[in-house]
Formats: sequence, C-alpha cells, structure tokens
Amino acid sequence: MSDTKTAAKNLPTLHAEREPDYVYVVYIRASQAAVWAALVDNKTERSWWVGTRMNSTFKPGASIAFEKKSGVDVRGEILESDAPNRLSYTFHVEGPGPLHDEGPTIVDCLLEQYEDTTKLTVTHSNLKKGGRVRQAISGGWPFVLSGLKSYLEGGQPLQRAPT
Amino acid sequence: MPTSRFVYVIHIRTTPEKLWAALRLPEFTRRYWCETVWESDWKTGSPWRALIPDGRIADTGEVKFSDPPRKLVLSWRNEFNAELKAEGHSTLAYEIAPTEGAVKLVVTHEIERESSKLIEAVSNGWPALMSSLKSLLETGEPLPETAKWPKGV
Repeated sequence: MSDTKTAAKNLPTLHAEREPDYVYVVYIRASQAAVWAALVDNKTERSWWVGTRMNSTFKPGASIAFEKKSGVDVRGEILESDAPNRLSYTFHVEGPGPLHDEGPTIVDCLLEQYEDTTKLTVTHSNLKKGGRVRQAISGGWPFVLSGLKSYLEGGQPLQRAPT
Repeated sequence: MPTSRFVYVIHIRTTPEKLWAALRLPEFTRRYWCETVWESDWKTGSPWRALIPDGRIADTGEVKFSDPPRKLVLSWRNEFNAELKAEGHSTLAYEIAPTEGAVKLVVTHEIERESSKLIEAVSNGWPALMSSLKSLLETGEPLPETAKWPKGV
C-alpha cells in the first residue's frame, strides 16, 4: 500500500473488547470499475442507499459525510482509496445518542472481478463489545448492498428501507 | 451446546410465492444452483435430497417445518464430501418476509459443533448462490459462477 492510497495514521483507537466483525459478501453482474464508480459516486442522491449523497472526494485523509434530506447521519474519514480495488473509511454515527458514543467504527470494501461478475466484500469492524452499532449495521448492509446489486444489474433500486 | 452458524440476508424484488418456488423447484435450481435438482414433497416430516447432474447425491435431510411461503426448516447433511458428511446433520432455515415491493430472505445455517467445516464451506457458497438467485428472479439470468456444477467437485 503506497502513501498516496492510504492514510493509516488516521485509524481510530480500537476498542479493547469488540464484537465479531460484520462481513457481507455479494456478487454483482457488473465490472469492477462500475461497482467502484457506484461506491465513490459523490454527486447523486443514491436511490439504492435510501437517498443518501456521499459528501467526500474519496481521497485518503478526506472527510466523508452521509447526507440525507433529514441531515447527516454518519461521518468519517477515508483511510484507503485504491481504485478500483479497495475503499475503507471510518464510520461514526452522528450524535447525540448511544450509537455515536460507541465511537468510530471501520468499513472496508474489497472488490474482486471474476469474468463478468464482481465480488464485493464489506467488512465492518471495531464494533464495541455489547454495543448497538453491530445490530444497526447488520440490518442496513444487506438492504443497501442488495439495492446496489439491483441498481447495477437492472437500473432499478429496491423500493425503500425495510422496517 | 457450542454452535457454528452462518446467517445471510438478501433483499429480492419478487414475491414471497415466487421465492418459495425458486428455493425448491428444479426449473429454478437447475439455473442458479449449479444444475442441481431438489426432490421432496416439502411437507413437514418428509425426506428431501439434492442431486448433482452426474447422478450423485449432494445433500439429504428431512423437512422439519414448512409454512409456505414464509418459513422452511430442513435438517441437512452433506453426502459427497466425506469430511463434511462426518459432521452429521446441520439445520437450514429460510425465512421469507414481504417488504415494500420486495422480499427479505434470511438464510440461517447452523450445526451443534465448534469450528464446523460444513459451516465454513457453506459460508462461501450461500452468498454466491443467493446473489445468483436474486439475479435470476430480477433479471431472468443467473450469475455464470453458479450456473454450472463446478468441474472436479
């Protein structure tokens, strides 16, 4: 990893006691470049991410804010941006509230292409032992990444977030 | 009891009835589940088995619970890999819930033993198979990775 792709010095303090990492794998019939472009899109309100617009340059060290019409719900910092292979960033739920108090977590997106299909592995780590963030993101990632797959394969997102 | 467990959740733009069919019927499984054919009457207490294209049996078990199109629970033993077969029966549950314009599928595969090789193996298989199922139901085409039985397996 070269210095231009990473900003590892900005890794958050790791919790001494953590929940198991959350891992989600999805296979998408799209090129790795297309999946990457969707992940670093900073212009559109993502239909597949409940209308979120990502405010970030996606360069290592840059800030990222998950902007919804109702406001920012997550903030973080880009740790690694190695197009089109790996994107990682800190993920800190906006406060105030108990999820915010669990501190910054880490999201890592790994892209691998097999012929016409891209395997996307999202690993969400540094989840505080006994905390609530793990449960919250365990519901969110399958919906967002299922929506990304539908969007890239058929041009249509899923309808809306599940309850 | 120590348990090894894998859980996979996926949202698919389809109906519970269509997903219920696609998880069991050969006209679907042949296309997204490596050409396998599943046989059972799918009633609680009945046996089931999955057949590989060359005639070998892939997996067998019993239908533990069936509530179409919401929940299907199977006992599940691998039959073609001696190491996995030796672990005995695992439990597989499909839970289907309608959402707005789509369906949420939760797949839970578990076995009462630590560090299960079967659960390790299916942890790699389920994401690819269910991704392919979603592609088939939403676009009419499965993913090429799961369209054929893998060579040499």
